[in-house]
Amino acid sequence: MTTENTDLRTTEATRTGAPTAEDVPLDLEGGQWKWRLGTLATGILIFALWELLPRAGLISPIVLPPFTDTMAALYTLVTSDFFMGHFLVTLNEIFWGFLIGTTIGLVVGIVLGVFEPLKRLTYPFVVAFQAIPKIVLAPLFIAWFGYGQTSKIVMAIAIGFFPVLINTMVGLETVPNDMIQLMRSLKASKMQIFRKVSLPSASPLMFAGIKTALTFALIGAIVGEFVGAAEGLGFLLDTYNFQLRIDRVFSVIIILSLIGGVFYFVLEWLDKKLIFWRQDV
Amino acid sequence: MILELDSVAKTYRTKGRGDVEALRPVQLPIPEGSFVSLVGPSGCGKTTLLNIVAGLLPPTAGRVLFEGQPLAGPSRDMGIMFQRAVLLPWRTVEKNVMLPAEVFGQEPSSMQERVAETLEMVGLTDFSNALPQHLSGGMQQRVALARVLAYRPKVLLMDEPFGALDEFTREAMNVELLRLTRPAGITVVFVTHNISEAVFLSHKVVVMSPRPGRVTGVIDVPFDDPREIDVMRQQTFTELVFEVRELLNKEESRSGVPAEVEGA
Ligand SMILES: Nc1ncnc2c1ncn2[C@@H]1O[C@H](COP(=O)(O)OP(=O)(O)O)[C@@H](O)[C@H]1O
Ligand SMILES: [Mg+2]
Repeated sequence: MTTENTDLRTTEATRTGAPTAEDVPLDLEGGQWKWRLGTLATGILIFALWELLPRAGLISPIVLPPFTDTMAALYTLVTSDFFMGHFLVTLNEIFWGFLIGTTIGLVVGIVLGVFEPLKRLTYPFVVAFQAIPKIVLAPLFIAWFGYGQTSKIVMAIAIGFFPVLINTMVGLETVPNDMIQLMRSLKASKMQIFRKVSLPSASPLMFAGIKTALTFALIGAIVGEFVGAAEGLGFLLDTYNFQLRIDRVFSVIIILSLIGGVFYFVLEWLDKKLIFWRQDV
Repeated sequence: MILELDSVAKTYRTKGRGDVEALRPVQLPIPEGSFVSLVGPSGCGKTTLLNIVAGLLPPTAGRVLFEGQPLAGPSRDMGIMFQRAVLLPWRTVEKNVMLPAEVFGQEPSSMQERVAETLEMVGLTDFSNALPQHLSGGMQQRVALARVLAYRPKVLLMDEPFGALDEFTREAMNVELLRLTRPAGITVVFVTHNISEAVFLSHKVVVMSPRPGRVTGVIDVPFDDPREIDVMRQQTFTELVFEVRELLNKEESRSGVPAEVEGA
């Protein structure tokens, strides 16, 4: 009844606990285009409500400025002469926070993943650090590193390196044992086993950690700016909020969402290119 | 004798469960070019024994002689295959078959021809550039076979290699295995829990029993080579299968625990 093909997929899926692409019925009855159309209609409905509810007086424009007003405010903000400065500051903080955080996460994760005794020694501290809601560190970092960009970068690193570290460690821990046995049967050196099997085998999880790190770096930079800064999009948001210029607040939120969205799609695309053999969804 | 198991025994020392006697001392000569099967229910120590022969697991007592020399670890003159094909999913079929040569530090260009030749032998030439995930289970196992055959080991160790395949594919793989190993004079040690598969393939069937794992008998199979699937029709074949089964059942009734073995 079953072909050998599906047989093996099932074993594979059970082993990793992840559903394979084949298990998920993407094409629900009615065809893909109907769902696309539905999504589009839902979007239009949301924007329509955003426009009409404040205009009809059902929601105060101070709570929610109408959609078109928000777009106008967004345009004015983006074309103003001070905007680019704030934008680049935040981008810079995210970039360095993400880069340094990811590097630390990868290096420490690999070192702990390779040297078993070191992992056992430090694991309680790793877990303890993970339990800290790292946002509480923001005031401390500002006290240590000042009001400038450094404290925001440190904040982005502190939040961002963790998912990379954990995923790298777990990825190296969960290399299939028979792959290692195969390499040992070939008398492969430790270095060969690491480079040809362990590292590539761990890379899907590592990359998933890196994707999370980028989101976290963005959060870290913004939170740092909320707590104390004189420039950046987080600072701008906080200031407009204080001034009750809610249309401008929404404008900054939209820009931050766009930054997050662009990053996400770039990494998603990279993931598909680099981890081309990934089967789970 | 290319391999000689000299009082090889294994006791696992575990933390919670104390010592597990996985294998009572085994005495077994394996002539060069012969095909030897290990059959028995799960837990009788087949994998343990095979891993000791592969040099992947040190025995607690006794020793393995390979070409007259005591074995101290894995040897590049032996190759191993597992129940899973264990292909690296990020490598194409060809690159997977190339892996041993890379590990041995051989020039990739000098291996290219041999890899292509081996892929041709297992009928996978058209799939050299495919990723393993796009192949069926049977094809994946053929890639694993090509990977091990490409470096021409003297001994091939196989741990239930076709156990995850359906009956039809398994039969086809068995015929193919004989075609690829017998004329080349490769010695094969083959673990299975399928009695008729063992009788069809082997010169010698080693019957094992669990609790504690041990060898309870060795049955010689007199069929001429090359063998085709129709030896299964012979009276002798049925009798041999029955003989193996009887040996297993005797142990089962002695220990009072049913042995989980697939029949013919
Ligand atoms: N690493 C191990 N630690 C402890 N016990 C083990 C280990 N590996 C196997 N065993 C035990 O040794 C016995 C033989 O196992 P194994 O060689 O895998 O048998 P088989 O391959 O015939 O199913 C079983 O009882 C099993 O539970
Ligand atoms: Mg086994």
